[in-house]
Amino acid sequence: MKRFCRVAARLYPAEWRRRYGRELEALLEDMEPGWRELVDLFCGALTMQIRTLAVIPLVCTLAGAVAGGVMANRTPTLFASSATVRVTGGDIGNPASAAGQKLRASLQKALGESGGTERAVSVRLLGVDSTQTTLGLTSKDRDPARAQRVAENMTAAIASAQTPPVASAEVLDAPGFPTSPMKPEYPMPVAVGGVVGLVAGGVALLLLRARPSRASAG
Amino acid sequence: MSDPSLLILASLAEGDKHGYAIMTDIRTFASVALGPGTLYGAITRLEERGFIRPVGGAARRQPYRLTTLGRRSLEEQLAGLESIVRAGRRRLKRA
Repeated sequence: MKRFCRVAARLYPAEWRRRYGRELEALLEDMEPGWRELVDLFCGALTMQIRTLAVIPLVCTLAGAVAGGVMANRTPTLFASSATVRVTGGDIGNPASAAGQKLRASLQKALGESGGTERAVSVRLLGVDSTQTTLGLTSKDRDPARAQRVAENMTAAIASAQTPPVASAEVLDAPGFPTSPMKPEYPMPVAVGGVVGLVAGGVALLLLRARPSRASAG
Repeated sequence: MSDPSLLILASLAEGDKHGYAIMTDIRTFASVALGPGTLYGAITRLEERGFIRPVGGAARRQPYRLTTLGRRSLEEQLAGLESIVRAGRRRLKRA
């Protein structure tokens, strides 16, 4: 039990331990601590951490993460419609190629015509080999019908950008009507909230510690 | 009556003591078993408020002494307690 108590004694703030740490260790050597004393040490360490403000960054980090989670939960409900298209021939996997540039222009035109925005649409390369390129396309919108319409137009744009017999497109998975909304994306807002909270807590702690104490001011 | 600060002041009123000696003394005269965290939390507060001060070198078993301010605070607190005890006894007799 003494070992656990010594571990608990290390949970006190470093500043406090510099002043009282050796005394507390000597006290623990003199006595026969039990569970009650261990709990008492944990509570004492927590109280002292709060008193010396070291707990501020931790609390701010948690508060930031919770705020991030709440904000993620309150973001507007989005519906996603996805499609998979396989392009045979051409060189659309290379954005600098003529085929790649033609595809990009065609996609942007379709996007403009269907009322979508670049942020709400993503096109991913799912697979590339010497003859075929597989593209995954996702359109997100608050309106499920518009999400599907944008995805359909984008899919058609990919097909129209190909010039037979050099290249052809095949829709492997057509955009469907999204019936249920996407789940809120928690990891990024929670992580960002946590980091912002940590930085804010660290700055607050530094400012509070830099503040002259009443004793030194008086 | 288990206010750790008051118990420590009462213990040191007898003379200088280190942490373990204060703890055993309080257990003897007040039948209160202070935990190490509670004891050193109270010692920290009392030293910050100038009611006690360490004496001698920076020993591992550091003795503490009651300051004049601490003695005055102890007297005031005991006077307050005595007043409560007197009132309580009087009312018990009447009841």
